[in-house]
Amino acid sequence: MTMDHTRAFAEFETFYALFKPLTPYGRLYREKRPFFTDAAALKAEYDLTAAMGTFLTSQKYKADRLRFHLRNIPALELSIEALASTPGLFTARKFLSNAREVFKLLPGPLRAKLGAKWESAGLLELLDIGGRGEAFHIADAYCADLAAARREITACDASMRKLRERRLKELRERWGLDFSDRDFLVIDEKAAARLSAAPELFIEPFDGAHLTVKPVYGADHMEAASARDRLRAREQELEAAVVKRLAAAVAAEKKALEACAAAIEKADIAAERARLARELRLERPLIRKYPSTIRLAKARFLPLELRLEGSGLKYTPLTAVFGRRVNVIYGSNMGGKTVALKTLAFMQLAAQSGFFTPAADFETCLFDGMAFMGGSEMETAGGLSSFGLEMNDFASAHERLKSGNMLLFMDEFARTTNSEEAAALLSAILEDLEARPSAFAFLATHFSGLRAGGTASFKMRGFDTDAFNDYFSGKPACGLDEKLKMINKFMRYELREGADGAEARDAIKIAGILGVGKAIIKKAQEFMEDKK
Amino acid sequence: MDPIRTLKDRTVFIVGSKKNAGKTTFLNYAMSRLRSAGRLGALSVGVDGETLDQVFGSPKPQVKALPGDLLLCAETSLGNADLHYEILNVYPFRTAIGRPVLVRALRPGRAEISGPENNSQLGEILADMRRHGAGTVFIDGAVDRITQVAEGEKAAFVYVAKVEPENLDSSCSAIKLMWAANAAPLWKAGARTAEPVTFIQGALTPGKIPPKPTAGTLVAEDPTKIFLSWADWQQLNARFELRFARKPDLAAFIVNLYNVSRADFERKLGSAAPLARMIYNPYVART
Repeated sequence: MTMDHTRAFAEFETFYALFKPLTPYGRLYREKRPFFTDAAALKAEYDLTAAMGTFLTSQKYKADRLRFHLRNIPALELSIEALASTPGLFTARKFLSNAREVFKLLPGPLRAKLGAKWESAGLLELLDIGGRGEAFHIADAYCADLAAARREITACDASMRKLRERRLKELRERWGLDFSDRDFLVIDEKAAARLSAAPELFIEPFDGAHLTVKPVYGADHMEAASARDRLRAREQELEAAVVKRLAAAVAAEKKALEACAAAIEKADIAAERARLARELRLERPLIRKYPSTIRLAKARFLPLELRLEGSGLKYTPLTAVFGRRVNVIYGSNMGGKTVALKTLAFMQLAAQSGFFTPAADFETCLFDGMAFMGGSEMETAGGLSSFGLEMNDFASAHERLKSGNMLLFMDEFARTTNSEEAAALLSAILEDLEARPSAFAFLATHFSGLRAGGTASFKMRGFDTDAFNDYFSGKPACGLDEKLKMINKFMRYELREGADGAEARDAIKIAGILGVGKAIIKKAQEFMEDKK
Repeated sequence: MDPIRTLKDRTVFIVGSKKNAGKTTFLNYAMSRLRSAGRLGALSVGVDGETLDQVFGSPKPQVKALPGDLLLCAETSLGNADLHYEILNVYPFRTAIGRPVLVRALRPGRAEISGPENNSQLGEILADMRRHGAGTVFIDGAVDRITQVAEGEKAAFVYVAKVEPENLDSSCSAIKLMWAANAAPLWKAGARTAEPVTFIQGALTPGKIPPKPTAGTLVAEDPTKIFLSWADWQQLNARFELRFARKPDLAAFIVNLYNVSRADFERKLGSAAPLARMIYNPYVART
């Protein structure tokens, strides 16, 4: 639940939805949503992504073929029940054919990294006896008796066809009945009267005025049909025996096939992560030992970047260095505090999920968990108010600090209670977290006056009043889009260290841009002057 | 022109006026007629609970296959099929009767065809059938699947009606309505039409008709989603300019008359226009 909240806050699903492994194995992996807490395991993932990225960018043609074969890999069920049918064997062959091609395409060192060993050549050769391109069937070559039975069936079919053709010709010539393309004919009852004595026709009622007429092909045909039924039953028995033998051969290689599937999963995931890295300009993060400085250079919060791109608004990447464990971010309304937190949460989630990250540099350490508390995403539930929920979430996260390192995000925490008590509560929390080595925390707030001696303070640079005044004089903003563009244009989404708890003073300007009446804005500014 | 011949190289939905209208029997007939014109594919869509064929009231007929025909069958039904086949694909979609399996017949035989459960699966299977050389693909049943493939495929549909004395009125109304709807133009954004323009999502039922005095243009999804009486349709036509967002081609009406003479049926239909695309009991002897 804690991680779900954090993922939702960081809008991680927007990014994760772009992660589309091609194989059923990769898709299963995706559903598990791994979160790496072991540095060596994460390094192995990064190494694979990097190696796969190098291969894919240097070998475009092979990259296309790799994607083709990965997409064609089916999920292989290795139980005898699943294998003991022609569709089961088709699936096994399809899996092996494509796996072999995937392994062939990969360079040796990358294959070694993936643990990809091709050990099923003999099995594939056996299954290929029934293969023709993508197709598979229980071929005659598997069993001489089967081939013989099929030859007899073919002969039987031919003789039955001759009998049918002869009979249909007779019916056409004698009775003028043309059964071309039809198994039966519907005939007017009166017209059919002349057919009543015809032994070569089977007649039954169709409706009140018509009869259905079917050819009777005769004793020879019936005999041939019975013989064919017996041969077909024999064919089915022989096919079942071949299926059983082939299924046993596949099942005997269960271990090798499982290893093959594991390597395929790794190749698929690495290829997909490498694709995302190339397309979204992601870079390998640098993972340090906990606790370390968190450093971001030109970090892009992808969900917002994409949204702003769509609206033609400018996106400002985040550059910051967080050298201390507990950090407070102050700033204006709409000044980017929340986006700064989201950027951090997004980067950390991506990094610990095995992805490269959208930043020129992202240096961080690993956490055993992440938790988010506060903000507008929270809704009242189970009888708790949003304040109650925040406190409950904080208590749970705080408890988890006893068992591992946690990265905590608090956005406008306790904003729904009175500012005096909220400030007191926040000050106490900051002091507590400062004293707990397992806590790494970021708190965004617009409350001033927090007593947070040991914490690092930052401030979003906020609204550029001078530039705004130069531009805005006499130019009223119209729709919401234009208002947002105006705010976006003059808001400086930059994080500066050493805010000293100073309160932001941009709210009245922002309210004005968003359409609050001029008289109210003027009065508010007067009240502020009086207060000063 | 022979309406059956117009189906060549198209995706043909065979839809019925009611359960057991004789769709599968027609499918076998049409396949036989078109086999010489190229490779054929057949599948079904929609679980309609039909177990008996109308023509004989006998167990639902299987599809007759000749070497090269492509059929989509359920994994579980393949064991009972009298068919020697090679498998071209096994789809990972789980249905109540197992995975759908695309097979190519290697010798003459019969099998029960099956289908996917949703439209994206249907799209994938159709693409596979085309890739494996199918020219004309027949899809037995499920009128609601037409629209989704109509855009990407050269979709046509054949309407199979079983006409009996007790449903003569309603059958004629349905055929007239289908014909009239098929004649309504396609909606084109930006085209000059009467205002306001009302879009109807899903089936057009009496409950979805905008209340009077609203007029203007009414855009429905496609002609197969009109669930109105002939009288309702006429009233609607008098009030609105009617358009369709999509229109698969109505290739033919297959009319199976039971205890109804052709003359009585045509008198009741009262319109000569649909007759051009009508095929009466294709199984009636041409003596």
